[in-house]
Amino acid sequence: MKQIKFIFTGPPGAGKTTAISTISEFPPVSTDVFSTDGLSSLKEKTTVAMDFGQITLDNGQKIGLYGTPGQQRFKFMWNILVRGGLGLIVLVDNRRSDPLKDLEVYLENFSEFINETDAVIGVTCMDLKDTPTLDDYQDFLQKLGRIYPVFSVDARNKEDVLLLLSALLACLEIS
Amino acid sequence: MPQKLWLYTSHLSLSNVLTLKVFLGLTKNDQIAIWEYTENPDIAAALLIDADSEDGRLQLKELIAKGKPPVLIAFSQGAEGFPEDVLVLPRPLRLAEVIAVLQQAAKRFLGISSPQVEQKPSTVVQSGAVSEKAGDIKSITTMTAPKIRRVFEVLCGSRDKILKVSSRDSQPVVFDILHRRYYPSNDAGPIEIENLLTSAAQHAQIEEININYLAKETQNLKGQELDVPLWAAALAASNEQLFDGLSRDEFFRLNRWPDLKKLGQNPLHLKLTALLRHGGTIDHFTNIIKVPAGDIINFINACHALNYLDHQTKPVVQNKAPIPEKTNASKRSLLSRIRSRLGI
Repeated sequence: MKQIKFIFTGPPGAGKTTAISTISEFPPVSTDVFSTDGLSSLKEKTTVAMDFGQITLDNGQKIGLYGTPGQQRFKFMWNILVRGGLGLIVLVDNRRSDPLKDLEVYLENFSEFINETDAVIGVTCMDLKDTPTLDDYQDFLQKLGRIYPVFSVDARNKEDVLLLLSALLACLEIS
Repeated sequence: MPQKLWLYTSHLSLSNVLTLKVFLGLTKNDQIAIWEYTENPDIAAALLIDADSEDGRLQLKELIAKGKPPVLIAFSQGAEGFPEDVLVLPRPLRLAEVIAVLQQAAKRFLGISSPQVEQKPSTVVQSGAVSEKAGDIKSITTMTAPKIRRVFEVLCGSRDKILKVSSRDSQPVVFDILHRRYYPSNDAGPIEIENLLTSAAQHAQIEEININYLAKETQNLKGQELDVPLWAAALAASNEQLFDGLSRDEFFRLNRWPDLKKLGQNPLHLKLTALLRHGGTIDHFTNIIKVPAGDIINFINACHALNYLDHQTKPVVQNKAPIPEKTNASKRSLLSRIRSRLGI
């Protein structure tokens, strides 16, 4: 039986592993290694295969929480991970040089999956760098002809992560 | 000694009213009459009506039929087709023509009824009614349309302007609508701002500020985000009735996802946002999520106030196309269980 799951994606350091650990029933199983590239200044470890967390529903059904590796060189993993996915949570790190471009890359790479399901966008670290603003993100999406929920989130904050999931569920309930 | 006379306008756009107010200020040195603006038609010496609008034309006809003062001035593209006793002010507003017409009006009025001249209005205000399609704001006419307009409706109809608003109960607040910021001149909190926004425009003093003077006007004032009080004011004043410029038969679609984290999390609003993202009519929305139409209308009004809404008249057959179907039962059950598990 195919595992039902939510997919967390986004560039390295955006908070995917943290977001999963915020709501998972157990600490996420991660395939982290020590960062050796430019990322090492931001985080000590980075995910190379996936993160895995889980929640169990009242009927015993398990819902997986999967985090993709952020770096694009692990892109081959993405198509494997999305199988059985209910929807996509894209986390974007606002501190990066071109977060809007990051968003575009992930929306494009997961476009097939998003067309079949839906997506929600969480922008992290807006407290550290407030541009682009959420309006900039919405303007950008408008140019792409898309409307997705976009929220400023702190991946460590359970309420923020739940807001993302709540918006995603609202979209899935209507689609 | 010049007399003080009052001019009342009807169906004029806000920009025209603002321009007119500036021109009226230039009558201070006139030998016959000093003109001031009033919102009280009962004390007006002259009534300036936009005769190019349908409502304005009808109002003019009614007043001509009554044959009573004040002096009637038709603001119109064409000078022909009006009775002789109606003065005509050609479009667009030009200072020389406004002054000339006002001088004629003053002479005519003073020859008819001078006892009313010294009466003073209780409030001198700017009021407005939004007409989104035209993108302008029409002044209220208590003679034909006594509907109360709120301050936020004036703001919503002036999206590229900077307005300074004050009322009897509040200090002046500068609203930079284009940049969605406001600058309270005291420690006014969100509730005071919301109260000001939902107050009747006719009881507020609203003046446009040139962008070059924004820095001066807001010196030492701390700018705040306008979205939250505007959203709250629109929801509070909505009262399950679509705002002017919106019609129940229209096709509504969001052009962006509102930041509901900032505006206030509400499960119904999340659902409505997901629904409005696809677009549809109010009747279709009520059929899909089974909530009272009034709740949907309130939400649509709030989205409209923040400019998140596209709306247009479409044939009914086209309305059906983009409306999403309800998800199947098993998926719905799964999503519901996930919600329950996560407590959302």
